Amino acid sequence: MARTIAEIKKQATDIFMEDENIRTAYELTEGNTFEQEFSSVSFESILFYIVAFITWVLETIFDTHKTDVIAAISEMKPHTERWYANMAKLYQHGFALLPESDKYDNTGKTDDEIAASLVVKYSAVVKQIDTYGHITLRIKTATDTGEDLGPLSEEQLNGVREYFNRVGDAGVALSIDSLPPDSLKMKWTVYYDPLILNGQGNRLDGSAENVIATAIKAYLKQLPFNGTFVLQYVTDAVQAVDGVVICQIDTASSKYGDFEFSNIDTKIVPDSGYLRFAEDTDLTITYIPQSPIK
Amino acid sequence: MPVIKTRSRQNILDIAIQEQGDVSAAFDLALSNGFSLTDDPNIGTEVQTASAKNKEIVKFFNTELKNPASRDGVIINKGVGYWRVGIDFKVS
Repeated sequence: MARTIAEIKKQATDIFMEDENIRTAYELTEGNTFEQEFSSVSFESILFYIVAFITWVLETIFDTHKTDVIAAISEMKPHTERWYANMAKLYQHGFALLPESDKYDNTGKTDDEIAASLVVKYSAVVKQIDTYGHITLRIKTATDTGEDLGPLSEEQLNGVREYFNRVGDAGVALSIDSLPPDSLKMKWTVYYDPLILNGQGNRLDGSAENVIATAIKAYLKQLPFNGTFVLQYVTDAVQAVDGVVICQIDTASSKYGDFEFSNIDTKIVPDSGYLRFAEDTDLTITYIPQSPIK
Repeated sequence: MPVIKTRSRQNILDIAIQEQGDVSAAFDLALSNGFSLTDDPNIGTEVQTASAKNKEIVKFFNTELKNPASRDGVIINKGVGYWRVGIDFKVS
């Protein structure tokens, strides 16, 4: 763990102050700290700060490097769920695998061609046990449609399935899918400050419109793939919007596939891996003016 | 997360001081925005910043409307047409 800039500087200045030759040259009083003898804008203090900053950068880089190496090692280990999730993202659509290998031959291909062939942008692996005790690894996948997440095409999905037939461990039952987002329906009551927002959720200064809906949709977008949707956290995100005094979720329900909408109690992991409002009317907000309370 | 645009001759360290009040924020800033610490972003590059570490300093830069810009971007031309007597015009 990298030391802070202040810690590094203190260690350096302590050694500096302990040196007898320096004390004599600078006419320093023994026992005084560096800060007692030198101004914080003195040449010496700034010089120590610069050295401490450089050391801190180096230590932080080492920390990041260590984290990267640990992540690389843990992802390389076969037979883990994370390995499957990682391998899904390495699938290249339209490319043949090297014989007896899980690698692609990318010689002669441009970076753009390779980037375009990596169609699986998001993946998550869930272990499922059916009523007979059979274990299946379910691999959820999604691609990037430019603005948002979206399901893979049938052709791409078939490619991913064939790819896992060849690279996956023998004997592991896989179920690979890429579904449209789970639908979400929410009803909110928002008490807003009438000096900042109006009754439609638009800012009075005209700089933004429908800020509450924008905040909720932005929260859904920044959720990690297959991340847990927590009602409390989305409330926190709306509460942080300028002009919101109090907010509460009246109802929240979600559905996937052909099932009916069911109520969300505290939190939910979306079946497809991500949640969206299917229609704009699925999000209704009641606005009530309210002066700030605290 | 506030998003700001870099100004002329500003680097990541300047943005860290200006927006978060502490140069030690530069590393997180670079990492979250996909820059290297030593990158020289173009003018108007959007940088996503986080909450202030030292509010006093952030306040100073906001109220004084000053922007630190420490990147070396000044080109000092050399030659007879640019040298000035008494400064860098030397006759030996």
